[in-house]
Amino acid sequence: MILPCPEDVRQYSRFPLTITLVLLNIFIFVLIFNGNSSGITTSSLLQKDGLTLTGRLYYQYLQGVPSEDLLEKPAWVHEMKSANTEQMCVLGAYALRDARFLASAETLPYKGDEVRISEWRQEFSEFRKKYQQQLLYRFGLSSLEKGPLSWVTYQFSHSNWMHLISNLAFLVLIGVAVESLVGSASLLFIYVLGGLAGGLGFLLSDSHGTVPMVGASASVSALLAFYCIAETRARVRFLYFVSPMEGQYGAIYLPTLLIIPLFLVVDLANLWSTPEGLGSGVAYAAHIGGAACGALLALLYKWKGSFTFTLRT
Amino acid sequence: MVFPDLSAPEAQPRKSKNPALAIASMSDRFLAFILDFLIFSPIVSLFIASMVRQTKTFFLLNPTSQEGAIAAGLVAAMIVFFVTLLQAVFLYYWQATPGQFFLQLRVVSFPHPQERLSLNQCLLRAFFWCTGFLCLAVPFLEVASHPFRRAFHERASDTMVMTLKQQGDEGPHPLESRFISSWMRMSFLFLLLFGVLGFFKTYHMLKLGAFREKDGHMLACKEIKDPDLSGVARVDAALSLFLLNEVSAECLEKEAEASLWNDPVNSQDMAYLAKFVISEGEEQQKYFAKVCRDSTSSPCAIARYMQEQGTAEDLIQADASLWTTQLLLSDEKFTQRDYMKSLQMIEALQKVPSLKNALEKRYVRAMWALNESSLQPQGSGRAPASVSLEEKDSWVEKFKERYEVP
Repeated sequence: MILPCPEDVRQYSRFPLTITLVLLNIFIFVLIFNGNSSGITTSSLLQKDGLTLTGRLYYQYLQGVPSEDLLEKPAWVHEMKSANTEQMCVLGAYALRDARFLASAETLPYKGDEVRISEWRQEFSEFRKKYQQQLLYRFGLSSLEKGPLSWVTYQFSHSNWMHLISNLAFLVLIGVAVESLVGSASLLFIYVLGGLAGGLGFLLSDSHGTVPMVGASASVSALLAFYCIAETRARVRFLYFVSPMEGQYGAIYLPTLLIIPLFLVVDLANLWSTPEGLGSGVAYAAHIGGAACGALLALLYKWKGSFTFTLRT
Repeated sequence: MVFPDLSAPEAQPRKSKNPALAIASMSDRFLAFILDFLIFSPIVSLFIASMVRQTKTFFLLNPTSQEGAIAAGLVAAMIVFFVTLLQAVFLYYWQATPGQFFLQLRVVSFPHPQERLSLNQCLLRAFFWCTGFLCLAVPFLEVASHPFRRAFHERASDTMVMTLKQQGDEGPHPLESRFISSWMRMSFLFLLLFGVLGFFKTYHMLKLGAFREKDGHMLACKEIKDPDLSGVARVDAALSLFLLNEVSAECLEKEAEASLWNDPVNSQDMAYLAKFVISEGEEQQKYFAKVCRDSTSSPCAIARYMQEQGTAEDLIQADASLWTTQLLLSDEKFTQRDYMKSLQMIEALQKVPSLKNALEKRYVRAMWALNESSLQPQGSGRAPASVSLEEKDSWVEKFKERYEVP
């Protein structure tokens, strides 16, 4: 494990906004999300049989989709065979991410086992209801739920403790460095604008998806990209940990640009290596959107010599 | 939080040209390896991303896909190629990989000192470094045991890793060296053992057909082997075989699903009948309602017969050309002790190739019952009046001929 840690985080009074953002994320998580389970994961629709049935119905839905819309679907969807139950199960998982299918699925006419289709309609209706009621859906950003507030609320929402801790660890380490470099107001500007750009990247990559995106990772990516381009000092401090043995942990001074392969290229590689339409649980496109925004702001910052101009405009 | 900075530049870096005096320490080399991994892996991942996506797609469509296995092999080959290339380029131009560079390590020519490494040395070193991982990284243990901390890939390319730091490593203690060497020999022995075991196990599985192309995920059940059966006939055969305990409920369900989802027009009622037979409780009633949407249909008559209150009258209304009807009728005749009629029906059904073997037990059972009934004293009321001695003898003769009974 290796993390950039250019500043001494113990001097927290120097970084009021970073600490405020961290506390805000923690408070929102504890007060709203922690222990709030929607029970959606236990839905029979998400079990193997349910997904296979959904896949079969989605297969029929695709037969009636206009060819131009069909071309938008990933190539692997076109290779699916309805007689293959394993493939129908995968297609079912994809179907539940297709906003256009979800919008009309309940009322579409289907051919097949009518008893199971009728049961499926009921389960699907309950699933949609629960899905829309879950907090992550209401606070998150997706093509179904993209109200003006969602663009901001998603940046402060997290799905679980691990998600929160990993994002906040990076926010603390890189937030203090950026705040020390450009000040509190500019940090907030980069954080929020990076989050908005991350949301845009996510929606562009998943324009008809239903899975909501939450987390501060797009904003953190923006801060990472901003810092490594704005601060091209020869070397900054990175903390590494291999094992608790002596010499296996400590600090190492490495170029700031090392952040690019360590964190930003990884996102690009992961995005490109994931089959279209099947997310891996991490919104890599949002990370890239945030990073691109952070890089642009850094170039602007370097060009103008300070960030005040950008803030005024 | 005060940590010693392992990459901190020395006040007076070592200038000596004799690498033997400045052996790089193991911890520095390990840390350099971690850094190299962190830097190279995203770059290599980026190069191979589209190939990885393609491979994932192959496995997504078919987890036992040959295309997927070949694509995975190509991905592995690409990883070796890019890692070799990246390492060789860095070694040739900077005499160090990025991790080694940050930790003030340099790769030099040894034991024949040169101003800089040749391209061949760089390529050989990088390639053999990659192959070390094929042996589960056991060859790298030599870094801990060799007096100059030179592993196989370094000796093969006449190179050595040295440090620019003031304090060089003194190499391993002879005892440590012996311990690691024997450990390495043991590791190779275990590798060999597992390799040989793996080889024979794979060969055994190959002979058993474990790697044969499978299409077990297709809807239709493979236990019904007749490829000519389709539509109503296929579901009918599956249902008959299920009633004969020759195929599982899962198999019948697959056939019913195949019929309902792929061919809903021809055999929908028979498929619902199959679903009715294998389901229970409330669901069974739902399927009964589906089967009996047309209460005059044959599947509905069969379903009524199969219900608890069903009578033979229901069965008579069903289409007699259906194998399921014939099978149930033969059973009904057997229950009524009309063994001759039951045998006739079984014999007629055995003309269907996919049912022939499955009906052997029923045939023998009916034959046995017929023979037993004739041994009963006359007037006991057990043998039906219709059974004549000649007819019975002709069945017995046929049976003996069929099973070569002396």
